[in-house]
Amino acid sequence: MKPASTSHYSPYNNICAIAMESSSKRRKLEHSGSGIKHTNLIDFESGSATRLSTASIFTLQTDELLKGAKIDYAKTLKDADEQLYKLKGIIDSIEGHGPQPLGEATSKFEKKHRITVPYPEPRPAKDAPYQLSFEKPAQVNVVGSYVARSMVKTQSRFCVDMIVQMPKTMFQEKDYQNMRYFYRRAYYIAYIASQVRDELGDSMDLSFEFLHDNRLLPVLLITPKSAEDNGKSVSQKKKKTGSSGHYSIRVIPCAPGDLLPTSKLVPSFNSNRGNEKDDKNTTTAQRGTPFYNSTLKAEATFVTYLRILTRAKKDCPAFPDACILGRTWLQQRGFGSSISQGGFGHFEWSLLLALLFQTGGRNGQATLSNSLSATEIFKAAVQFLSDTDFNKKPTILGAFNGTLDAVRETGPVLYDPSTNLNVLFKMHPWSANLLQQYARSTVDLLSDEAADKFEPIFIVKADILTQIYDATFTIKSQDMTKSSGSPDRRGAVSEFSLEAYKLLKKAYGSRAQSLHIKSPTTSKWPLGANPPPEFDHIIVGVAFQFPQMSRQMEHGPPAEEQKEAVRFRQFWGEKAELRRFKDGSILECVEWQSRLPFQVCEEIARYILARHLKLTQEEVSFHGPGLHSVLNFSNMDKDAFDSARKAFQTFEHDIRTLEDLPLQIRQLSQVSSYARYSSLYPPMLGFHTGSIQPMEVNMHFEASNKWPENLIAIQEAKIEFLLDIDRRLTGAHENITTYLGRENRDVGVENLAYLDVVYENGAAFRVRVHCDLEEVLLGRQVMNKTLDHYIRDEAEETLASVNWQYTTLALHTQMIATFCTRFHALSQSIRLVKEWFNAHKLMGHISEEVIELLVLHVFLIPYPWKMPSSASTGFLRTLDFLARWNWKEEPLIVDSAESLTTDERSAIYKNLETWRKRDPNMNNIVLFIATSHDQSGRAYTRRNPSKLIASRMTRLAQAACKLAKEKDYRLDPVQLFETSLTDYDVLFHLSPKAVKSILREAAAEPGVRKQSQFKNLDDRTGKVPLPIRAHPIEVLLEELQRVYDDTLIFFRAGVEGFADEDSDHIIGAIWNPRLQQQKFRAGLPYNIRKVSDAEGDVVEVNRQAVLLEIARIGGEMIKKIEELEEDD
Amino acid sequence: MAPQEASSESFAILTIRMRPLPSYPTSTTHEIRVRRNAPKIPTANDDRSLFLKNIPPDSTEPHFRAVFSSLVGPGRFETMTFEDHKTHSPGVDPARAMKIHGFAKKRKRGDIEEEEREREEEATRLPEIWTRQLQKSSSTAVVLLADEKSVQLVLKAIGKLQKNKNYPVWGENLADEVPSLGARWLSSHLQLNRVDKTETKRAVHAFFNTYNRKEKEAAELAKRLRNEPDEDGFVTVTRGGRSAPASRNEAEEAKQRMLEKQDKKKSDMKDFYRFQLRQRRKDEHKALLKRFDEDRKKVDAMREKRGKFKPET
Repeated sequence: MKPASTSHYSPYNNICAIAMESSSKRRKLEHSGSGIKHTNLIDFESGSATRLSTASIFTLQTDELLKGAKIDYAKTLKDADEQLYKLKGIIDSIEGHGPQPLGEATSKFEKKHRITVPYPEPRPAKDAPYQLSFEKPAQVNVVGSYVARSMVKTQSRFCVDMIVQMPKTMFQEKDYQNMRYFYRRAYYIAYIASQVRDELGDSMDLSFEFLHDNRLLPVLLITPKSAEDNGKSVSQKKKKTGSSGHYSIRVIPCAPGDLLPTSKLVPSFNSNRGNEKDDKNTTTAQRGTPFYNSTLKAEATFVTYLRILTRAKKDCPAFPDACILGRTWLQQRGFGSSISQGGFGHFEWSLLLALLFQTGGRNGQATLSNSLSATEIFKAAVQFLSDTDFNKKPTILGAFNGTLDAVRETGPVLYDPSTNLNVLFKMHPWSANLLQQYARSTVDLLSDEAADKFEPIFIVKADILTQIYDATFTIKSQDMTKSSGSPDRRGAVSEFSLEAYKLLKKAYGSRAQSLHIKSPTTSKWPLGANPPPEFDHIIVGVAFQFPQMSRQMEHGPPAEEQKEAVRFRQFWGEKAELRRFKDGSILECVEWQSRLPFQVCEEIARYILARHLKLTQEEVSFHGPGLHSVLNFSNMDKDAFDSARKAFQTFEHDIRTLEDLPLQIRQLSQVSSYARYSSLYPPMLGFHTGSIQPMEVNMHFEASNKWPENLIAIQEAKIEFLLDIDRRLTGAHENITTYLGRENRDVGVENLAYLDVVYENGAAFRVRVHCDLEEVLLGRQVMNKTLDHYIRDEAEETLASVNWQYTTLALHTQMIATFCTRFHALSQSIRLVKEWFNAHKLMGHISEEVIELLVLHVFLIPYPWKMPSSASTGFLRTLDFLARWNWKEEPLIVDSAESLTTDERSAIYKNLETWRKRDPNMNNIVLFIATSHDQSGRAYTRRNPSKLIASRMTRLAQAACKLAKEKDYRLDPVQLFETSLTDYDVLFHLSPKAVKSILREAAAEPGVRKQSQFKNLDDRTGKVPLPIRAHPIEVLLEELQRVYDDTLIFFRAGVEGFADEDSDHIIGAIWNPRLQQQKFRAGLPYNIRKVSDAEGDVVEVNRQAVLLEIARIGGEMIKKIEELEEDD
Repeated sequence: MAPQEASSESFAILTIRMRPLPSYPTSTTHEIRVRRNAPKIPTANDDRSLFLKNIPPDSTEPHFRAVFSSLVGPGRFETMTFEDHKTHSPGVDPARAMKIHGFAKKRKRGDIEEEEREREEEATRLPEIWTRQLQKSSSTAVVLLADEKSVQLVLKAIGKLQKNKNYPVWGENLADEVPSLGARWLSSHLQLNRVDKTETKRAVHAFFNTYNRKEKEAAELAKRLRNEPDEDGFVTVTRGGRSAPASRNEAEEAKQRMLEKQDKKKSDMKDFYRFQLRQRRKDEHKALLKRFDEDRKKVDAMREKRGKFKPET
């Protein structure tokens, strides 16, 4: 363990330092004081100092959390004290009985009380040679969070723990062996249960349950019946408010402190040799029983730890609050004390804190100081957890003079020498890993200035498997519950999980980042029944190492190293083979059949589980891969993107080698999503689809003062430039054809034309020329106060779009391309999220670039998780972010270059605030997105989306997240991509046939023969398609949007999907909600109709006429226009 | 949008029947509002023109010619202009020319010059990319009729129409061929979008011929103005020295340089004196306090909204 010094957690942050600096006089005075204690250094009592010492929003927020989290004991656990007192009375007054043979005592007891004694498996033999007795408890006491007052409202249930210490006289010297202690304990609790039931009668529900899922430790659970003497109305009211009033009392028998010989209960010692088989099977007998031993030792520590915790509470006033913070943190991550929840819960947390108050630092000094505040203690403890790997090396807190080997176990170890107990004995290796992983990400977050800390740490529920793991699979098998007969008594499923974990970890090797196994919890059972059997399924979650995943081959040791080779063969079985590789080495290896990364990983898991655990295909079922089939990710995608980039390099070379250009070319920048690994479908060079997808390129020239000083003349000059380049390019290269294309606008101040350059191999580029004088001239117009208002507004609008096209897009493309090569899962995640927007027909409103930023943000600030390692986690967490993002008040800051300072950030926040004040209805700039290169926050979302669209996006994301939460790993991802058509007013069904024929025609020269219905007679067949400006559907929508700007809002998917044959071509639309009946004005911007039965000249929108107009405009392209009934 | 709003005369409703189509098999009517044209700035032809509001987006001149001939018989309809086409085009004159012309006396342009200009404009026009333009929904148009009497006739016919319900049908009896919409319209647009290079080149060259000529004229005019006192005896001061007119860009660059220089000078003197250092520290301290206050306000605001501090379950 890395010793963490006290200074690390000191409360003197910069703020205090500055505070001290500014009052240097006082500092001097205080230094002269004798014992320098934290409390003396800064006067926490003085008004200004306290304010400064907590001057961080995180602290304020946690204070608020603490205020809200604490439960009102008087209300929630109203009569608990009274009940406990009564119970104590009952238990104290139980009459004991003398020793009787076990078999006889059990059968007599079971017959008399109709209670099955909850003996742990294997149940003792009827003729077991020892005797049972019941004696008055040595001590009855309440322990746990009820006494510590650290319960929180969000707990799943409220439990008051009451321990009943069995007297030492009941036991014999060797009772620690062979489960004898546990048999006695089971009988003891059954006996108490019978007495309590007789006394309390019907007012309470009594049942057994396992303490923390530990099948050795049955306890008695007492729950007050809800509808009782306090009146019906009150109880009904309580039910409404939630879980209040539903508490239960656990009666836990425990051992006296000095009963068990700790020297005999070291982890390597086998204390449970079984009964008879002992001698035959010496190998198992020699193996230690760490779990059994630790469970025994823990039995004797209840009182000791109660004392330690109480002392910590007394010494450190912030201790209870720190415990609540820890409890919340663990709870949000799915951790709890029981084995199925990871075995690290509130108790372990507070014990860890208490121990760290005493020791843990360098030379046995305390790690934590008593004077820290709750937040500081929390931060320090998380730091400790992140630094400590319990699996690797046993962590010892306190003075210990034994050897490390004495306390070593296969699982995680946190050893407390004062009790000789491994506090983490309930933890599995994987849960220790997970805990450390969470602690690390929390520490990262705490040191990340940019991120919001409070929400990811305490508020977000981060235990949804699909959001954490890239793949999950269930193992369900009857064999699992059959006990392997191991003497350690962890339970069969635990044993099985450990085995599976070991195998999978070894099989995956570097492919997996982390591996987790989730086992189901046990439930309570009535007194008269047998304990429920163990569940026969576990869930395995794997987070992958993306670049390693797709490895086709498993390389083993070289053939010469025979020992290793045998081991390798033994592990992989008949799949292992010897191969000679290109570099001459001869290695053992395994080859996998599948090609796609996820399939390879599935194949590995299935194979290795079948080989070593004899699991059949049906017993292992995978949940993850659905998401990957949504877009048919292929391992060729990356190559496709790379080849597009390579084609661009050729193009750039061709352009740059042109001689005698009138102006030197400064830069060629790419701006298309094909060039940044983020287009929905990868670019396909060549003429496969009957259309060409040109990649957009901006051409920047060196600065020159020869450009005309007039915007229109600049546009005309650009055409001249393009024609000039065209002439030179076609002259120099024969494999190039070019087309001059016009933008869809009239002659004006904006760009007029582009040049399509098509290579013989199918690569196509669309070149636009940038002239820096444009920006200068427009900027001058914007600033010129003598011009008319509308001219200045127009100039501003144009300037923004020029900036967007030539500055922002170029930088954006570069940025996303860089991150896509750095974060392996980013490209696929972006594409998946785009498909989601596509499926919900939002593509026309939310630009590709915005989506890319959203996903990038989730990768850059992934808290509370780690960075997504696959498309599925990236996708689901993006949805999670969208569902949470309150865009009305929060800007999205994507600081990709990590260059923004705190001041700049707060400036962005302020900027948003002023925008909202100026435009409270949010008619403009609904999403406020700032990046490192654009701090205005308005470059990306100037026009789109509108408030209506943004709220629809949020609603859809929330619905998706809700589904993901409910279904968790059983989620069928296809459901998230199902298009709902019921939300629209009108549906336009397009005719795929017409669209296809337009595409064919548009991609041909005008005037070619096309009348023949036979393909071989048609002139267009076999001709290389010509580039078109945009997809016909896009052109149609452009026009419709222009014409019906104020009437209809159209929803469509991206046109890339329309290349498919069978995708349904439906455009949804809703009537603008602002179109109400109103008085006629000549300025009304929509098709009007007089309302016949109204007074005066009142008009409304003429819906049928509008739809008929669209039918006329669309012609053959629109197959059917369908009006949907309005529900409300 | 409509400059005629001030006018008091109310609109008549011209109802037109719209035929159903297979994709939307509903027959319906469309209401166009009509009244005498009375723009704020009167023109010569106001008396014989009508102002139309809420015309269908697929309107063309032949469409309306047919509608009007069904109302009052053929021969009354002369021409019409659509709102969308009258867009103001920003000046294509060189920046310098515009400025100089402002100084110079306004000259009345003769008809010959007007014709000359139109010919020039024709030559500089880039090839069309749409076979047919769509009007914005509910836009306006002005119809020019043969004479004043036709206006009255039309309005009367519209009034009658309300009674006998014998509405004209849209798109019937078109005299001239109108390019169709739909698939043909889209594909021809996409084809036309790949413009003819030589034609475009010609247009661009024509544009620059005019542009350069204007620039030259402006330079000459400027030179003349510099030497010539106007009628009040003043000489206009224009930019530029004797040799060449100064470029606006150069001036701006010079200004930029100067500002940078000033900035540098300022930053050199930062943290130079002790009082500056102290002041800065004080400011930082103040800023910290302020930020803390802001944070607290933020938390208070969050609390008011509730739920923010409750861990999710």
